[in-house]
Amino acid sequence: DRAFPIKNEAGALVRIAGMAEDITERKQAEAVLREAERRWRSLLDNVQLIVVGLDHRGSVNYVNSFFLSLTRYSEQDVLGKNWVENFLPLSCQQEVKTVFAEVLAHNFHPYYQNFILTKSGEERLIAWNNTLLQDLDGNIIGTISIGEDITERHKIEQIKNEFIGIVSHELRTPLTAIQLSLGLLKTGIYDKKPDKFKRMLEIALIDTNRLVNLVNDILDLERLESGQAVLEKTRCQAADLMQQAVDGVQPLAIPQQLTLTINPTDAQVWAAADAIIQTLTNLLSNAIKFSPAHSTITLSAECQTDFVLFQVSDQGRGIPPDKLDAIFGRFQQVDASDARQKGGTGLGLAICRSIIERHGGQIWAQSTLGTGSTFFFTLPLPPEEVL
Amino acid sequence: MKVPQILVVDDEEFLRELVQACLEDLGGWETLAAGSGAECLQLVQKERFDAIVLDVSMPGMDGYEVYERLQSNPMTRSIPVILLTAKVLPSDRARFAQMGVAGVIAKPIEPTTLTEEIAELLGWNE
Repeated sequence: DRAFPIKNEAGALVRIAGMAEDITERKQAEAVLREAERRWRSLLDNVQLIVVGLDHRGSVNYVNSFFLSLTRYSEQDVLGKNWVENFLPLSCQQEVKTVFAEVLAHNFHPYYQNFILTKSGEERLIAWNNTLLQDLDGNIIGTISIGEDITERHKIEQIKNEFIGIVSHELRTPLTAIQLSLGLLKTGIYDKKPDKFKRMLEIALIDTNRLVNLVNDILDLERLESGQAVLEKTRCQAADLMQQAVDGVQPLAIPQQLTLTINPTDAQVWAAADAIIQTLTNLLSNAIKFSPAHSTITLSAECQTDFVLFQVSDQGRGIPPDKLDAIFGRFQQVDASDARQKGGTGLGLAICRSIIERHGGQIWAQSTLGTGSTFFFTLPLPPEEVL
Repeated sequence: MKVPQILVVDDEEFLRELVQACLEDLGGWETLAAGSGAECLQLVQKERFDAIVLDVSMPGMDGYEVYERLQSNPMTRSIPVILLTAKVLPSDRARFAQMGVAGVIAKPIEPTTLTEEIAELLGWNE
């Protein structure tokens, strides 16, 4: 309608007149806007963070792709639904309702953590960053929240705190004995009682050694589990590893007159020799600690299809069935006082498990109460021998 | 005046021995020792104690349970209990605060401080 005909008296068309407008700038501005929109959209769709928009009544008016993939909901499942009532566990609904009201009223709680529910009912812990949304006139229209899924991090922190609690206790116990025994000596009350004096020194020394072992084991385990410990694997003769471990623990078997028997194999394994000797030494020392006098401990190995199976068997008191898995955890002795009486740190089997798992092997135990226990682990064959 | 008798309960053999040494040789008190919660509950039936120094982390029956059982028995309810414990996290402290024990002493501790604190908590200072 910006072009119009010009006609002569007879009404015949003689020319067409028109007006032209240069819209280059407008088109460019539209393109810039579209590009900006595309970038924001792309950011929201690809970012590995949850983005949830709520209107002022708490109904969902936006969720991004990451939220949908994390929770397995579809957009239709979510949009228009009340956020708190539909996607939060019952236990925190009331609290989050209050928080939402306070965000709207006072822009409180810029940071907040709560659990959300996935479609399958799983709870995920989310750390939120909440922003209040206002229209051009300053009216509050809702909130937009960006959230990070911290479920795994939270679990690791819980485990770490628990570990620190146990370590603190395990370190304080020998420290208490050392401080009390040396403190008693310092008062001078035993200066003329040589037996008492010697006993105090003896206790201090035993618990100093216990502390040294504990600190070493904690560091060993941390290096293994953090991946800092480098396990240089080479082709090793299984029989050599077994013999070296048995030679190392032989003196421990003498007081109880235990017999250590080796059933070797000519198989080779792909392993870090020192770490495997440490594993065998730990298992053999445990067997020695829990063996009755004059009994036999057997270390054997046999080649299976694609791994070598090692076994350490004793005729000791055995392990209750419900403890067979737990003993490979940290500070999980069958009897908590075992660490003190038997001189262990409570970390030996956790170290063994870590070493074997870093070799791609498995470790487990079988036991009959009153008859004895057998610890098994597997190690891979050298690479070219795997069929 | 009769010398006070204290029961020392700890599953750690060395700690029992050392705490007894502190209480006897520094504090001048008499002591008996129990290596478990169960042993403690048996001993309080047979002997009269003026105080119990109780470890918290023990296998089987822990110090919390021992204390509850002592409290639920009219014969033993009035014996002052001092917890001597390596549990020092804020969550542990909160639980101790609710228990109504005579006192809590954290491990590790100097022998003289240990005996002084016990005397103080029990009002045995001259």
